[in-house]
Amino acid sequence: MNIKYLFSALALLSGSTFATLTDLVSSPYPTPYVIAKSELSSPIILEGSQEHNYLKVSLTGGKQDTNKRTPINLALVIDRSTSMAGDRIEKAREAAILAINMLKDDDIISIIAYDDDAHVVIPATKANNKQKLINTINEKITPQGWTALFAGVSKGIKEVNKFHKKEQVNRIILLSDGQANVGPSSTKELADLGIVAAKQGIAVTTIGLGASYNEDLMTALASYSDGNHAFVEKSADLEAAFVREFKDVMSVVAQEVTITIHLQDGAKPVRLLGRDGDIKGNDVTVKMNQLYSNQEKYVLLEVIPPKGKENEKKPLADVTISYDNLQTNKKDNQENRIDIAYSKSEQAVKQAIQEEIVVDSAIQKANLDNEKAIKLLDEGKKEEANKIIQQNAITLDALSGSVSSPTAKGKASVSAIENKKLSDDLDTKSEAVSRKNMKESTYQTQKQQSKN
Amino acid sequence: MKSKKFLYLFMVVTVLIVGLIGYFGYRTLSQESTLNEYQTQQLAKTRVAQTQDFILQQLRQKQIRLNTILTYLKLDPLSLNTLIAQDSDIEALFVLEHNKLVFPNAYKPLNQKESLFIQLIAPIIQDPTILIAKQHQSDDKRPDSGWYVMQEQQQPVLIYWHNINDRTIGFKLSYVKLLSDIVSSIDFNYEPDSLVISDNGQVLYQSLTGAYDKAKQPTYNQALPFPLHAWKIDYYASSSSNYSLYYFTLGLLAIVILAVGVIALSLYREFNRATRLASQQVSFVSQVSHELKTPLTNITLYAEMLKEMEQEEDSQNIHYLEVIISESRRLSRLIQNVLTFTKLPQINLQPLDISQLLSQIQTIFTPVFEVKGIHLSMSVEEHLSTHSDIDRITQVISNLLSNAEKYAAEGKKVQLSASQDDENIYIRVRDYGKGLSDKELKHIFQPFYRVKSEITEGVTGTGIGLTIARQLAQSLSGTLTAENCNSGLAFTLCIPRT
Repeated sequence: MNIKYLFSALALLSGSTFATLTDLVSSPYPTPYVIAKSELSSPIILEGSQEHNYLKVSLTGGKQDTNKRTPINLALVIDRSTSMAGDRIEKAREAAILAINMLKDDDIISIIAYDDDAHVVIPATKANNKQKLINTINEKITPQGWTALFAGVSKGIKEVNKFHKKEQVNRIILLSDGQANVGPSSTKELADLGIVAAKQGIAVTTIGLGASYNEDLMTALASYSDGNHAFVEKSADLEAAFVREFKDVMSVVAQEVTITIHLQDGAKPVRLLGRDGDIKGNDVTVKMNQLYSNQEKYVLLEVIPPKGKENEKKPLADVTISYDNLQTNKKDNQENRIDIAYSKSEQAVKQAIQEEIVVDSAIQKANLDNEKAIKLLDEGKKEEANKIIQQNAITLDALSGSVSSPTAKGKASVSAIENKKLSDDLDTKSEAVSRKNMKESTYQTQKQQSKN
Repeated sequence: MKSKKFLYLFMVVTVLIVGLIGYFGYRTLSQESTLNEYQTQQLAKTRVAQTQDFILQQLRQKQIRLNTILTYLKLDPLSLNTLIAQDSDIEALFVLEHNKLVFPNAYKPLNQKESLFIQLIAPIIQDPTILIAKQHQSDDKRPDSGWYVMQEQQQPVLIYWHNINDRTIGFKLSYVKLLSDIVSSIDFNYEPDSLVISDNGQVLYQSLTGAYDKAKQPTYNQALPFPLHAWKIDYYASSSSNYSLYYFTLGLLAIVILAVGVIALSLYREFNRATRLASQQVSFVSQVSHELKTPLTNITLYAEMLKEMEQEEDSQNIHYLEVIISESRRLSRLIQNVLTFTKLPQINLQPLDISQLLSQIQTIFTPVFEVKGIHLSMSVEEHLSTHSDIDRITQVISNLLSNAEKYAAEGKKVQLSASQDDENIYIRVRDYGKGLSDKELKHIFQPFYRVKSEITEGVTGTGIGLTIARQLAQSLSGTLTAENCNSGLAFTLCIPRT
């Protein structure tokens, strides 16, 4: 274990610095594998104005060569505590079997079941003897004991690491229906565990089943590695969630994505909307663990632009994007430069507005409000929470009416409908369920996780 | 009465045996369990030590790894930031140069994480010597690397520091990574025993089995050494092995006790059967004897009548009749003796003048003695009187005199005397016959015992006369004893004065 860490550490120390430098110079592929766009919501602003602007770096995975899917190294971590007894464990078994059937012979699978302690039911192995794996699942995934979630995920990391390669999708799918009650079980500890996994290039997807798991903990665990999170209220829907997850897992086109935004002097970063990142002076770094084919992920940075005069054009930011291209197994780099222009004419300013970015930022802001609503809900202020969500629905609905671009319109109205639904759920469903709905929604919005 | 006494005796003996078996069983069990406990304790110790070694080994590996990284590490901010971003063991790191913080550089813009880290390590920046002070008490050699432990939001912060020239580099180890590595690699199977590793009471890892009981104290526990001194390993031995021993021994004891019980019961029943049989025989004899009494009375009566008639006619046959009458009376006495032995009549206590009673008895016996040429002398103290059963005393004295007449006639002399002290009255019958050996003297009061010698030859008897006499004496709270004198025997009846 030592040696392996050592080598990877050495590789990264000596290699990464060179890699970034050399690849900066030339990108060997004419059509970029990842389509990256860097834009401002208001590329032209009024002279002398310093109104907050939104810088969006959007990344969309290119179309995948279906014949050459990236190999998968998957660990399924399944809760088999007594609370899973009955329908749930049955559906979990079915989901695990579904997962195995979706894998190719060369893919690697391991299955960990946890109760009082975590047990490696299937150690990391090639998925070429599916029937044997399925028999083991049916035999071993039976409910018993408590919920040693930490140990379960830890063993998942260990199993994935046995065959860890940079050029494959390394992923843990955690399925749980309960509170972690054995071993470290605070949200912070599980979030840290998520970081440990992410640093090793492993994404953790968490699927919460039923209304009694801890959604804060499950989202925290997934968050750092950009893993997906899903709330499955009824065990019958578990299979659908797995299919969705697998669609993502199988369509990973890039990993270890780093977006660096360097703001020019005069411009100031305010905050990141949505995903977390690292703001250090005028440098902003955001990491994404992976990009999926045909799925947009973005970074939204709220900035204060420098003042300027009419017809002046100033460089605002340099954007560098680097990622591991899974098609070529090389590190790709892209550079973008964003300028900002100044005008006297309000008309020109208005015409230049990128409606889609406006909508995206509105959605992310609404999302931040929804996070506040969750806090209010925790304080028992259900009415106030609902008011916030309703207000979001109204704002987004109004926005969809005011913009003209069809994409922007669509995005706003979908989000408005979603907020409306959250608000309705809060009225009709139990607090545990609606909180989980909200958490799932805010998480997915924050991470631009595909929702269908 | 008698059978009940035996029942008690039996019960006492049985309980005693059972008690003994139980006691030894208990002793064996407690010894065995002490031994067992000791072995369990030793096993627990070994296993806790094994677990501790494993944990410390994990920590040591991290230390070695960090040392190796240090030898290759370029100390420019880019390399350091890349290391922090990509190494899952390292959460943060700092570099002190000449005891001044150079990384993270506080004079350049910091991100939130870096600011928090600088706040956290502020005490170290102020006084880097605390790194050493915490670890080493002995001053013989200043260490150039080691662990330093701090606390942050209830989570321990492990810092591994290393001095190279004028630089001190400190790594903030990812505590969760350490936990994760330990939890995922720990692979000891101590079934059916349980193991719990905890940090300040918070459970980090547990391997529990069905035998684990939360309320129970751990069989053995141990705190880890620095820097994981807040960690504790608890080992819970399953008590099942102990239980099985207990159950086994208890079962064995129960079986033994049951067996003893069964044996005692069957012995008791066998004994009871024998007693019942004997009492049935006695009862049969008593009935038969009773039936014999009536015809015998008639025979005696008619013989006497015939004798009177023959006396008038002065016939020669009178001698024969006297023999018939005498033998009938003797038979009658024998039967009376048998009946008395089998069934004691009610005691009838009344005031009694001993001297008067003895005179009467002497009068009755004198003719019979004279026929055999024996002289019956009497010496009685004045005013001997008590409360007693006159019939029983009469019978005892008669029995003794009758024996003297039968077996000690050649002594030609029998003494009947009575005396008293403060408590008792002593009535003594002394003959001057041949006497008995001491060995025989022991047995003469036993029922159906007859001395085999020329003394008894030609003399009929049932062998229960003395037994009855002694029983009668005992029924009057007295005693009957026999002793050898210079020549002949002396029987003493002792009865209380009141």
